[in-house]
Amino acid sequence: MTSRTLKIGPISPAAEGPLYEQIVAGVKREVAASRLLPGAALPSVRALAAELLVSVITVKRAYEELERGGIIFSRQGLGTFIADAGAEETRRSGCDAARQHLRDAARAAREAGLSEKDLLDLLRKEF
Amino acid sequence: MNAVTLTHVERRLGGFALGPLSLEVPRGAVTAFIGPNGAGKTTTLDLIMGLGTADAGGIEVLGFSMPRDEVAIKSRVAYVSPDLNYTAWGKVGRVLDFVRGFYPDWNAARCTQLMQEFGIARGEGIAALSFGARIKLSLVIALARDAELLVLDEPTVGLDVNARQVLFREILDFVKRDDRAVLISSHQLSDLERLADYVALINRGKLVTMGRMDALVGRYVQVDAAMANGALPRLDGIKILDHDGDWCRLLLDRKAIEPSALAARGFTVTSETPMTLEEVFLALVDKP
Repeated sequence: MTSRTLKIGPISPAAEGPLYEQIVAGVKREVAASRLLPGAALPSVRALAAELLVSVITVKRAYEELERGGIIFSRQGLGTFIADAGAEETRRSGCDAARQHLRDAARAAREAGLSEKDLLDLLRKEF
Repeated sequence: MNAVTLTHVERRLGGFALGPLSLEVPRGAVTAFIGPNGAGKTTTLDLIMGLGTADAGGIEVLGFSMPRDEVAIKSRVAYVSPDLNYTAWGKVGRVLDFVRGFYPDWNAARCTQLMQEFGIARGEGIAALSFGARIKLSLVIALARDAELLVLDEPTVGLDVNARQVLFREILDFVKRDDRAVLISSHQLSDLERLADYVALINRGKLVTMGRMDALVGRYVQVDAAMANGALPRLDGIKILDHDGDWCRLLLDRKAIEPSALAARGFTVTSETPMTLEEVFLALVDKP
């Protein structure tokens, strides 16, 4: 089973978060943007490790997390693929993440003495 | 089956005593072997390669026993060390022509490709090679074979950034086959944190810790905290790294205690910082 190379951007200690999370985020980004479609094959763990210059365990951990999140699935002996519900799961987890950040933002705003209107103005500017 | 299993290995060298050391190097993975200077890394790797004999304990390599099966082991293991010296052979080409005769698994096309990648030529005189270029030659010789185990002792010393990247790619290509294994000793801990699946840390001839890289790095966390009553937290799993007034910086072993447990003891945690392998190393290895 051949698979196209993942174009998920460099995995770097200079970027935010542990390396495996960067791989998870990269795959989610590709799925959300429909550059990776349901059924698309992902590289094997070892091939992707060699490509990204990270340890095998790092890629394994990223794939495990993506599988737990329902974004990819693997079939013994066949490989790893984007799940049918992958795009939806990615959007849903993105939505959860946004809500969490908004909750944090609301708390920070309250602590800084901002009103609800101030916060909404800020949000509008950022969006 | 592990690629390498050391069982209670001991070796006495002058005033230095290694072991008893037990160690496992799994297949299909890269294992980092780290420790301060003089910890016994090279002594251990030498024993695995049959350079020197253990005073006690068992050394199993690829299912064979050292020193009994030394020949079988050496034909399956490729070894790189800054101590390898090929100066007597004059030119790079002569060394390659000489060593290839030893190895039935030598791949000439691969050798040519590796020489290109590392940028060394057959006509170069060995005495005139830089330290880094000599390492490159050792790497070419090790990687041009179809070995099952790659033992690398300080393979990045003197290598430029480019050659280091080539080496990392080669290492990860090597373990694409999950019956092979890499054991690498280096002081470039940030490289190893990225590349290695497993890590064994030794100090003063003894094993400090061994396990998955992500587990080791994730197990410890640095916490800055304010003390409520001015007393330092002398608890299992806590190492005090620094303190000043009511401020303290702690190393927490999360297996023993989570940062959240500090609050219950009257501490205000002001920051929680994940650690790099380098920081874990510094925290676990006592200063001489």
